[in-house]
Amino acid sequence: MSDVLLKVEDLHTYFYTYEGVVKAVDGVSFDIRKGEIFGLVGETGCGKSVTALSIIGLIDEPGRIVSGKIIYKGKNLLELSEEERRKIRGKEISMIFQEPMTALNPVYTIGDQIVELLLLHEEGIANIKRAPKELKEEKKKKAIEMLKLVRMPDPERTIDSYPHELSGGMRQRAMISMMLATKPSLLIADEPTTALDVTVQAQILNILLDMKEKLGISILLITHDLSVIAEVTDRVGVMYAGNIVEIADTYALFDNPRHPYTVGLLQAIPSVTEKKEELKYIRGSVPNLIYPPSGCRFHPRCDYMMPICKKEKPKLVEIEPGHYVACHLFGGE
Amino acid sequence: MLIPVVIGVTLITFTIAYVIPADPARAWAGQKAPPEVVEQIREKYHLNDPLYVQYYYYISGLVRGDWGYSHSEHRPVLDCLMDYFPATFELTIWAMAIAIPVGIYLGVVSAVKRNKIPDHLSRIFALSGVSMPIFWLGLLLILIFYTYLGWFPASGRGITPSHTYTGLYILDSILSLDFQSLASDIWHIILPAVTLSYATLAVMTRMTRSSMLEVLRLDYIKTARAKGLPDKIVIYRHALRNALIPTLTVAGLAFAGLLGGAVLTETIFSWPGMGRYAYHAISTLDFPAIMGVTFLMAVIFVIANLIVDIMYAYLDPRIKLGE
Repeated sequence: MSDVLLKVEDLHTYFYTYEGVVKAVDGVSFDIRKGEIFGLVGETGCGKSVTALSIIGLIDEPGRIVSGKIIYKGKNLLELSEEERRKIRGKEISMIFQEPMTALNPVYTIGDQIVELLLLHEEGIANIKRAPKELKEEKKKKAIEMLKLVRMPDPERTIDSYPHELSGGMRQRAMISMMLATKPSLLIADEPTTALDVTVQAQILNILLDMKEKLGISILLITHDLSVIAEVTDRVGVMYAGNIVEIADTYALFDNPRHPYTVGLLQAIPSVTEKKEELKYIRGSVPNLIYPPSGCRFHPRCDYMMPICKKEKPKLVEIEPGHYVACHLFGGE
Repeated sequence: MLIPVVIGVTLITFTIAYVIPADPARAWAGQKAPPEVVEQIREKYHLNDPLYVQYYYYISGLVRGDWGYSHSEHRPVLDCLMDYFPATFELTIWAMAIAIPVGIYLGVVSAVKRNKIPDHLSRIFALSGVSMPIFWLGLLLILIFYTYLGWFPASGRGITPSHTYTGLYILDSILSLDFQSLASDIWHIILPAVTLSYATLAVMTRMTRSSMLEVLRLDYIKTARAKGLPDKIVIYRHALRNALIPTLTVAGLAFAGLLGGAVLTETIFSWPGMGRYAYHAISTLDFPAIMGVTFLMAVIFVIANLIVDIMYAYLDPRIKLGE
């Protein structure tokens, strides 16, 4: 329990657009323990990716982290200079993205892209062209080892391939091997399997599990796909409209979901064993984050709405050991 | 692709030259020439033969190096071009040498500092470049830097180098170690080169800016930043190389545009180049000269685009030559 690697506390990330302030992440708190896979699940636009980008420090204009803390190994990342954060990126905290098709630079070989990262963090050489040849060869060998680790077929050849010569699954493997080459403590995986075929999805998830075991890394896995969550995560946070509404062990969450939104999400998964008349869904749609609903942001869509839900934002409370819910139904009072 | 384009160009220039409702034989012979003389000229230059026969003569001449006789200059077209082309080429190269690096740099700065002061300044600069006519800019520069300030000369190519190897004065000056002429030639080329480059520079800036903005949004830029690379490397190594691909196309086209723009610039700065020659040829109905200039420009245009294609393959591994 005390082995917390990363602690996010009351994070607020807003985007200042012409239409108004988009409160994409509005008071999110959770922690990631050493060696676990923490899942962050929610609908598109609920702030999962913004949370991830806030952690790695890649929030772009017009976005800004307004308040909160991101404590990594005892240091608040938000108090570091841009230069200090840059040194953490790719070395301590890495990130992989949804689209393996576009996440690798099309004009450089896989090997060059991995070697570049190794040279940067292990030798302090930012420009690959300035590196001595022997050093590059040495790093290339290391890159091949990494490709082997993610079970890349024919790594000696793949290392000199360009991204367009590889399939989606192979590119995602290359991406994972690159981002793990520096042995980071935390890997953020933003929808790593969404763009892939189901069979390839399973391979990639297995590789992530494997990496967790072999390298002892923690993974923040972001997805909208509950089956992915069920398959690989240890604990889960459910996000809705910029807030975390429930955090629990994966088993506990699927077994005994408490927040009405989580219940709705789980019911919306079609089942083969029981034929339902109609697929269940959550009525209404995701709220506008410029003018979010008052109080609990889920109240317009909630079947258990009470008067207090419109007025007061529920706090995340621990209702069972390790199971947190932000809902007035479980207010404790 | 090269050869059909060149043949097509000869066909078009040839046809256009002959459908113009003017009588070249009369123009060359002069207003008061007796009809027999005009008829003699017609006979001599095969002007009475059917068009395709004339075309045959034209093409076989081109291949043999006989590009016709320039009546405005009283010597063969090829000789004139040999004299004038290096001047134009030199001017164009210098204009490109200004336009491409400066344009790309401004475009990058503009994209990176999007909607901030450097972006606004470079956009105003670029907009004025595309909207300002070349002759006006040329006159303005002459007025400021020659008439008022007296910093630069306003006409000519400067001192002729002591030895001529290529016809490119600056290169020849260096080759013949003639530093006096080198200084003079550089001094002379600055104003016309700046004038000629400005429009292209503006286009390059705008093109680079928009393709950089496009590229900077892409996932692999996020990846590059997630790797912890410094901004400079992200921008110049990861973004610019991809953004250059569309910019390069424009640069290839711009080269041809510069050759065309040279007509005005050369006239303003009395630069003894092909543009000025073409201008005289047109005003005196010197058809062989017009056709020669057009043909040469077409060949250069094709070569410029060939170079662009080769550069594509270098910049983008997805493009393989010969596929």
